[in-house]
Amino acid sequence: MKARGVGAAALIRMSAGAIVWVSAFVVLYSGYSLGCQNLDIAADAGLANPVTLALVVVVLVHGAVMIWLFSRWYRRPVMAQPGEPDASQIFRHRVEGLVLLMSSAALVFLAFPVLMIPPCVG
Amino acid sequence: MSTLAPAGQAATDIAWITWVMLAGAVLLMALMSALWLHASHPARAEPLRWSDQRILIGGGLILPLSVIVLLLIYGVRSGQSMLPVDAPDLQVRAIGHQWWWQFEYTGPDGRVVRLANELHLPVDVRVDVLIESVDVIHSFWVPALGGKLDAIPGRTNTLRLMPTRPGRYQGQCAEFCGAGHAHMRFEVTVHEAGAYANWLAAAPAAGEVRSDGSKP
Amino acid sequence: MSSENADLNQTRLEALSAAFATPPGWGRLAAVNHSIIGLRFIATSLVFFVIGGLLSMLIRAQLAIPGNRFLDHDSYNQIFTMHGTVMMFLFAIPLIEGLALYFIPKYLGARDLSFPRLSAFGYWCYLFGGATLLLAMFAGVAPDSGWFMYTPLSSGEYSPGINADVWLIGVTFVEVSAIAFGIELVATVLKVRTGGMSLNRMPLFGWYILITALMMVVGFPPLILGSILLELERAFGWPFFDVALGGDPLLWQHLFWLFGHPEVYIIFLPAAGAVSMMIPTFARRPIVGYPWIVAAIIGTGFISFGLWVHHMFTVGIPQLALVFFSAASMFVAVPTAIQFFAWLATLWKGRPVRSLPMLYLFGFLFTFVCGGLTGVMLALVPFNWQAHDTHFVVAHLHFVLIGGFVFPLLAAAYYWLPLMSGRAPSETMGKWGFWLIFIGFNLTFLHMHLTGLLGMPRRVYTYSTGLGWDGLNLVSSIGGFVLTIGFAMFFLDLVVRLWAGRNSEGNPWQAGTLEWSLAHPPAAYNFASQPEVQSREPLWEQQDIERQIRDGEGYLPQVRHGWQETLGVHAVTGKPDQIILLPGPSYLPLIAAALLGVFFLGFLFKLYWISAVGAVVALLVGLRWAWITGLDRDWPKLDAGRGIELPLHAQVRDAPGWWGMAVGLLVNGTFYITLLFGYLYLWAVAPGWPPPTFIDSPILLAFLSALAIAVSAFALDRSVRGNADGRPPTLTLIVALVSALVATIALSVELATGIAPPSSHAYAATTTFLLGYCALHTGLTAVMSGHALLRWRHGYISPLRSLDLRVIRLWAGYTAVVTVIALALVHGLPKLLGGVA
Repeated sequence: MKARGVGAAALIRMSAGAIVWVSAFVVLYSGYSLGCQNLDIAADAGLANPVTLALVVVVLVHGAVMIWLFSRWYRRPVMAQPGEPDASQIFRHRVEGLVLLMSSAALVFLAFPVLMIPPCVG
Repeated sequence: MSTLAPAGQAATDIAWITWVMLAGAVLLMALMSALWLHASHPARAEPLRWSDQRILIGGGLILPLSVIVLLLIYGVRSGQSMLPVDAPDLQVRAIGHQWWWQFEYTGPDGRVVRLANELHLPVDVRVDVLIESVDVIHSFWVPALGGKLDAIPGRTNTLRLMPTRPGRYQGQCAEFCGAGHAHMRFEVTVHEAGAYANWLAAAPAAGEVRSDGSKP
Repeated sequence: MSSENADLNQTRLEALSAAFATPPGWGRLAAVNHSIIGLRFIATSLVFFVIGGLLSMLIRAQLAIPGNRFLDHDSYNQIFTMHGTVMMFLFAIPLIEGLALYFIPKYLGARDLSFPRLSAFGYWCYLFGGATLLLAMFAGVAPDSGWFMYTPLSSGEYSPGINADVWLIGVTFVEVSAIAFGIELVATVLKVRTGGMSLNRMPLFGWYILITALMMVVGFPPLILGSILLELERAFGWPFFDVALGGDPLLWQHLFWLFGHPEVYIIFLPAAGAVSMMIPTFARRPIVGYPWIVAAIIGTGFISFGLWVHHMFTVGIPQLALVFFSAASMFVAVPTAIQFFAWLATLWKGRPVRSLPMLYLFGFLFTFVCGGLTGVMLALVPFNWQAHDTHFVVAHLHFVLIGGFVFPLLAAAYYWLPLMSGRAPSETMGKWGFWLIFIGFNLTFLHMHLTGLLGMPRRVYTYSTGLGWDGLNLVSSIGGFVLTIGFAMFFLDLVVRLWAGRNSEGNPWQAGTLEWSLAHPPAAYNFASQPEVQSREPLWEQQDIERQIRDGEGYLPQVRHGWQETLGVHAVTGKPDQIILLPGPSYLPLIAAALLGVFFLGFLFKLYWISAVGAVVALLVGLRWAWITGLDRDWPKLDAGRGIELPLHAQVRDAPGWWGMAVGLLVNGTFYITLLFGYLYLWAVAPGWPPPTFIDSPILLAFLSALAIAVSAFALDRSVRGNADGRPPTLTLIVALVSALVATIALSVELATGIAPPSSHAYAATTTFLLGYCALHTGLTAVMSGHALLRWRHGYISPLRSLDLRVIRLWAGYTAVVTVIALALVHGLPKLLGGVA
């Protein structure tokens, strides 16, 4: 069964940015916890340590996905459903963009403290 | 018991940011209320002409983001500075029981001193309190000295304190722990350096704690 | 209209009334109509609100002076636990449910919800669960470990009585209704609207409820899982949270707050939805920034699942982890600010009128903004270390919940009352009520921030004098009584008005949304015909729409075969795509909920054989329930009015039932993922690992289970395809049935022989639970396959009517995936991570 036919994909696409943010959050938190559990990172290790580097990579990957979503959003309007009014398509496109904008800001906000402190302290 | 009358390094930092944030909150409250009252007044002059976009980007994104970015940067730095990163000058064990606190020192001569509901600390010294529990979850808290940290069965949590003013302060269990929670209090005495050494030398030896929490 | 036409119209309306009627007398127990169920939820939740309020009066009376002997610690602990539990689980959530059940179909131009019997079932679960808690309180054995039930305090060792079991069982029973609500409302908002209502024309209330329902679907399973685990620990000694045997008390906290924080937004969002409906009405213009608000709701829904650890900042979690949660907690201010500025701009760009609801909305703005700001303060980690578990937090949470929930709903009560009751509002008492509530509230809670900063912890039944708290507490207690008088005023006003108010004229506020086109109070069928909408505020934009609805010029004007019909639409475009036949009144929801009650009560009194009997009979009733839904013959497309013909919902791919199962599996999947989280969490974090022994059973047995359930899922897929091509699905269904049975037996053998006793270590307990979960699912797959086989033989399934088979295929696919993952983890992890103690 194709999800697009029933409209589920349209809803998921409107939330795409937030889904990427949640993924970043889950991977950052769990990866960090497991990393610090298993690697012994000293408090004065600075930022060049495996855990911080891994977290930075996670952030960059999610950032790249966000940028890709943005470019797709910019280039292409939403896929119209059969018989869908223009206003509805414009609406979905706007919501998708706004959620992306908000989620990108949230991603940056979530991520920059990674570069402020050594990871495994406290 | 007040967090606003600090006598320790962490508590002093937190009291400062508390006042700053309270002031900011009052300002924002006043701003929002004034805007709302004006906007909803039937007799106000004329409708706002700004574009929707401008209002929502300004009020919905820029305003909250600028506040929370500053706050988060401050919070990360300040929280980091309160952690037990470097080596402490003194370690004390604090063990939560239903419903009293047991404190355990090891003197310079290796002699173990145990006290109930009574904690003695020297001034201007980095102290690590190693917090444990033998039964349910408790929380070690001396508001005048710093934040609280939970006592969780199976774990040892380390709280860094640095008293800056000699005196007597109140401590209290801050996590609900059953029938006697309200009475799970203790007293902290912060001594001048010399007085502390004298106290420790004169302190009674180990094992002189009664399980009901009364002082020996 | 000529008088002859008027008579015809009258006959038509009478037929609609007859089709949608609820039987009188005892027959009311069989009611499933959304207005009736919604009002029952609302009325019951208000009763609990009064009870919770009285409990808070006892708390304030005890804390009025230091060293008070009014209450002892035992009663105080029961009272504050019950106050929190009643207000959160028995008042706030059910009130939201009631309002949504009542209003959503009216906002969406529909005649009822997608699954009316499910919401009736939810109501009975709520009533019985709430009654359990209440009876325990009157018997003096109410829960007393706090509404957050932190273990080990709530464990068998430190809470040996029945008190904690009452909480776990009563609350879980109530949560069943929250899950039912979540499934019901997602399917309803997406499928059961009127024609032309594309997503961008949906009233914002619909968006708020959609996201809230999805949050409930994802947010409640962690709590349900936690409650089941804790009850298993208390009842059978399975040591999930016992640190001595490989458990971890922090796992409970994670599970509890994984639910507990989204819960705050689950409560706030619907209230914000009501605000978003009132503001445009009183500003006399459409809302500003509709897509912004929708984006903000979606953002809030997701971000609110990244905040839970801010309730755990003091448990000793590494700093950077705290910072992640701190950041997310602060960031949630952004979507909230977007909503506030959208409301503000709507007012500022409109021509606002004064009204009683607007007064309450100012109370909402002031109180909730204040609560939001202290929330941002608490998100700051170092400040939280001081303020956590003090009266500062008590003040903050009451600002958020009373500000973000009670004030907007008081506004909404006055706003909606004319529609719900047909009585016109009167200003005087409402204003008195407002000022008493507003002043009383701030007199109780505003300076309580200071009480907390001066060091007063939460949950203490008494305090000593001389700490600077005496005067502050006394003022709070006085304020609390003023607040209570205010609420009493509100209820008095309500009663007076319902009893002797002036009759309301239609649409007294001149609102633009569909619900105001209804009779005040609305008929059981809501809409005399379902309109085609072309705008977000049809009553403002579409001239004459009220007459068109009334005169049957919309969709589905006629009753045929005594059916209750409502329109089903495409989720995105709002294009009508089916006629949904709604089920009529039935005692089955009541019976099913009562049997579930037998199951729960058996657990409470440790009479497990009674529980087993209750569960089995409940399953049989469930099968009966499923049996009598659906059609026993194919129907051609039927006239839907406005010149279109549509198929019945049992004959289309995209029926509400399919969405219901999909959302149900989302619930189930969240439960499962949380379970895996718990399994891995204990493995990685808990002291006392590795366990003394790992699983010890032939790997072939695991392969057999995995293979059998995969075959079952495949056979069900073949059944669906075969049936679509007109081939009887008999053989494939038998294969599905048998192989699901094989999988169940293989899993059971593994459970019985391969694992150490669950009470020996958290490893054995979690592994048993995980494999037991899989065995239950494969067993149910077998039952469903058998059920489908019988249904096919009795003509309920045809190439056109394939919903049964497709729903079971979905279930079996899910079961196969979770079973294979569970088996891989259970057998793979010991080899991967190795090391036996």
